[in-house]
Amino acid sequence: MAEVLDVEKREQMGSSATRRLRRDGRVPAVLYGHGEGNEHLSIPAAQVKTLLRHRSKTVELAGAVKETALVSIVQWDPLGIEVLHLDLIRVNLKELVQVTVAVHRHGDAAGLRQGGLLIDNTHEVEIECSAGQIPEGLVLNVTDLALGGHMTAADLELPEGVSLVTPVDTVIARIEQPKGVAEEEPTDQAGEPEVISKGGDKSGEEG
Amino acid sequence: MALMPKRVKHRKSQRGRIKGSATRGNTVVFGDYGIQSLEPGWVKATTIEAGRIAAQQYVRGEGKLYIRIFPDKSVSSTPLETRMGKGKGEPDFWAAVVKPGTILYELGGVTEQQAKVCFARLASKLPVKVRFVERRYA
Repeated sequence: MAEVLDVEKREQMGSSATRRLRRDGRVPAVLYGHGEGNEHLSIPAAQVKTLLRHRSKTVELAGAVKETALVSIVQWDPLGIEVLHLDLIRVNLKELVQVTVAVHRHGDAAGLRQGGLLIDNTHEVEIECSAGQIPEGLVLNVTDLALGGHMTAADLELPEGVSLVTPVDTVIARIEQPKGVAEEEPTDQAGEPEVISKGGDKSGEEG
Repeated sequence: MALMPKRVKHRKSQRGRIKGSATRGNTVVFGDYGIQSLEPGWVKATTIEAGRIAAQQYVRGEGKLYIRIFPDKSVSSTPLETRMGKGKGEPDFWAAVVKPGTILYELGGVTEQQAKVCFARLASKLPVKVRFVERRYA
């Protein structure tokens, strides 16, 4: 079920107008694709937060523009607190799209009972499916994962109509032996790094 | 042993200024949870090591800790009771330059509650204000 966003058209562009817009609790967005012109839009920030919380990919635009769109790019502020801008791509719910989805682990790995540590190598994978059937995430059943073993993208449970774009030999999760806490690397007590000189390989003095 | 570069082009560096926020290294990449700086500052190599020990003593092999900063700036100092002049002092310590938004450490393989407690212990060692962050999924 696609989220419904109440969009308004943006008449004024530029950083000042956009800043005013954000201050009023709206997020600027742009809609493009399907060979049609760009539409500069704004969306209520509360609806954007809901959209991100639900991890929705396709949205239904209502209000000034009535279209179905795919959330393509989400721009965040440097601290990752506020959404600055959204890129929306016009999409038909039956057309095939490539999107990135999260991988969810399921089950308790056998290797954990042997004292291993479960490490996620890849947290997201790219898939191809119809825009109307984008799953929230893919499930990786790690129940049989033993100590020293790993699971690849080929082990992911793919829903019907979903194909994997990420190479199937990509390691998703592995179980490794935990390293000792008191493990210390050999120390170089000289305390001075090697200085790269202009002429030769190395030198003790700065040139 | 505290972190420091193996090879450098110059032994001494200028102080520099920390302007703006981090535009790189500001998202959780390796683990599930992270600790993010909210202030600019220098984090000494010894402080990074103290934080690592504080965190690893808490997780005790249950989780994996990732250090996302590296002390690549040498900070020099002049010894006490030295007369003015005679050039720049000798390198004293190594520091990582941290901007607001930089992810300092990450943790994987632990629950959110464990990560919060672990990072609270770690945060008390750090010279900058930090906040707890989670991985942001696409």
